[in-house]
Amino acid sequence: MGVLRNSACLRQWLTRVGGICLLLFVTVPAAVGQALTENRSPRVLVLYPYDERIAATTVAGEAIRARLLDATGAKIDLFSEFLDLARFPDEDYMDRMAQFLVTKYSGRSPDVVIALGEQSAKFVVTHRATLAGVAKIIVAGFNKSTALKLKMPPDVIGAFTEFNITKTAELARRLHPSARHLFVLGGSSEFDRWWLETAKADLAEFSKDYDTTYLEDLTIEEFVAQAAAFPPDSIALALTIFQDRSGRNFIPRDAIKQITATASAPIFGPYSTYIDYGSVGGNVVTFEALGESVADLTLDALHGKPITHIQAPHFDVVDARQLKRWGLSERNLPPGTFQMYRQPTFLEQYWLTALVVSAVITLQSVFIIILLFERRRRRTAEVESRHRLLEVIHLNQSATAGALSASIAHELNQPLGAIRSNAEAASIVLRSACPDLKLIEQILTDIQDDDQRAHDIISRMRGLLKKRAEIEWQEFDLSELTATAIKILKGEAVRRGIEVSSTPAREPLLVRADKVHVQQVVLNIAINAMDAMTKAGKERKLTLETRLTKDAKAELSISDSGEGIPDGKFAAIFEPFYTTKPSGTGLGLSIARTIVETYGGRIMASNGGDGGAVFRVILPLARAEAR
Amino acid sequence: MPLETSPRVVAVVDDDPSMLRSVQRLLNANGFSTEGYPSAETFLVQAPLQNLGCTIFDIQLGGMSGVELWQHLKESGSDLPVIFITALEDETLERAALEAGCVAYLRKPFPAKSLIAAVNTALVSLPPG
Repeated sequence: MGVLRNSACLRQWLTRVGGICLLLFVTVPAAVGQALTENRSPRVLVLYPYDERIAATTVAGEAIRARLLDATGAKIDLFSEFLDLARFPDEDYMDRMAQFLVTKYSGRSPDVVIALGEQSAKFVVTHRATLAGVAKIIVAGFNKSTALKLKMPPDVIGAFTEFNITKTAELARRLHPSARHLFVLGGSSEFDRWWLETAKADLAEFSKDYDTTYLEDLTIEEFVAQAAAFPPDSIALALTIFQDRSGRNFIPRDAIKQITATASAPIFGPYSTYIDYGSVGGNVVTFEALGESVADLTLDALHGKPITHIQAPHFDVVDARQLKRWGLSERNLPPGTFQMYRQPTFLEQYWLTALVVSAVITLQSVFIIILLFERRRRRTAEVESRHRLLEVIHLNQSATAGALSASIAHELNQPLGAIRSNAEAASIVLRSACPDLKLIEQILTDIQDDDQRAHDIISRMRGLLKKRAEIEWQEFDLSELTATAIKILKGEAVRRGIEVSSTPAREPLLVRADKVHVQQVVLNIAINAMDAMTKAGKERKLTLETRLTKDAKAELSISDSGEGIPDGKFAAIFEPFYTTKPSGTGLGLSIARTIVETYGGRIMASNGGDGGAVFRVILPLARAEAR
Repeated sequence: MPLETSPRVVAVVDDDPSMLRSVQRLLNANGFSTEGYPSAETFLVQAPLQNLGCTIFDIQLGGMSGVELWQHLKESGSDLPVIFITALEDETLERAALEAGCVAYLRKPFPAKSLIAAVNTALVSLPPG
């Protein structure tokens, strides 16, 4: 393979070579004094080997131009000639071109001629006598080995570039350590073939670790198809494709672009121009750097300083977008690698925003924590307040029981009285000569019934006094509950000469709440109503009615024949401690409202048609609640 | 024991049917004839006042109370002896009733002998015939 290095392909403007030190210290006497002695702007002619569309040379040329203009304060005459020698390589053309340039620059002979690329260098060296005169010649963009082959005169100074595919391969290995396959792509032009052979030699060691395939003698379509079928654990190295097998000419990066577009593994290349065309990157000379090196040589030459051959710097350059595309880790990059198109990390880009946002988030977190504590505190407070409410309701229950105790005792004494009288009557009957057993049987039946009656009264009492530690949710019919409440109140109503009537709803009014609490609501409102009917002589009527409202809610209305509620007091009567009665606590209606609201209901007061007060308790239906 | 000389009827007014029945049974077992009425109004409309030996009124009767019934009788010239039986625990009312001259004021549940004793007292206090 080593033989191939010295093959016929050395005519190209970029080559790879060893022995770089050979010409490094050739010094050239300063021969540029023309501009200074004539007191005019120095003239620099840049010869481009191709037309103006080849990025490598134009980028380098632009870098030269920018640096020179900058360093001289634009006091410099810059000339450019695009020789297009790749497409017109014949000697006649070159002679005509030389003649043309000699004529063109006869009045403005340049102080420095820069030849970019091997072909330009060869051209200028060949026609130096007529074309360049005493001008200093600087060549750039190829390697020293080529320079030797071209038999450059010693006073022609070079900025050489040494393309080393191995370094690009090493970069690929570092970035994709798990790769097992290596593909090397090269075109069919003479240069392309030389590059392939050079690469084969250079990669002899490297490729031992891989299942290596050289993709050569392919059409562009074949390249694209092959690249699309690379196993994922592959790395690919793209050399140049100036021409494909079918003879089609390419600007290499355009060919690379087509291939990388659908490739199934990352493709690396030794040219910076490939970057942004789908190449992940490589060890490249940036043409800007090359141009700047050439410009520096030029400036030194213009100032009459001695100049020597230099080596243009190489860099590892990668396209950050491609790293992302292939999932290659930034951490595997060699130190000093230049990343292009790298999106600054979020923090880099938005550090201020990030700072503000994180401050806001921190503040928010603090607030949230405070709110959580607050919520917990509130929950505890809610539990406490519910317990307190339950306590208050229980006190209210006890108070009601107390208020009703006389009538309850009265009610209980009825069956007890009857039982006693019956029992004593029975014992007398039994002592008689011929006891009336039928009568005894009737008596016993009555005793049983009265006992049951007493038991019922005590049960209701127990319900009235039941203390809740927590709300006991039950589903029950509001009409049934009202009927029970009426039974509890009946005795009291009778005692006070109040006529109690009730109209239950036709349909069951199932509500969900704690029965004991809702019963307390009914009792509170009813007792309040009974207290309102104290005026002697007036008819005393308490009416309880349950119905289904139009908006499907359970309603209980309790109306009395009292004096009604004074105007403007409809809201105040539900306030705690509002009372008009000398013995009232002012808590009954307030507790009633609290209970009703606890179960999602409402309580309203108004005055009825006959002047008495009407209280309405509206509770949501259990089924509606479930929906 | 019923007195031979007083075959008078004892009228019982109580709105609690079971109570009314049990009191009547107790009196019957003790040899008294009874008439039972569920309310003051029924009593006033239906009771054969001239045949009655004494009356036993419950106080709370739903409509007109036992006390009002007694007042009514007194106002209409009847001096029938009255025994109150009540489930109410109202000492003021009890004192007032006793001061106004009722034969007895019994709280339910009461022992049979208290009622019988009161009825006997009532019947004796009436002029025979």
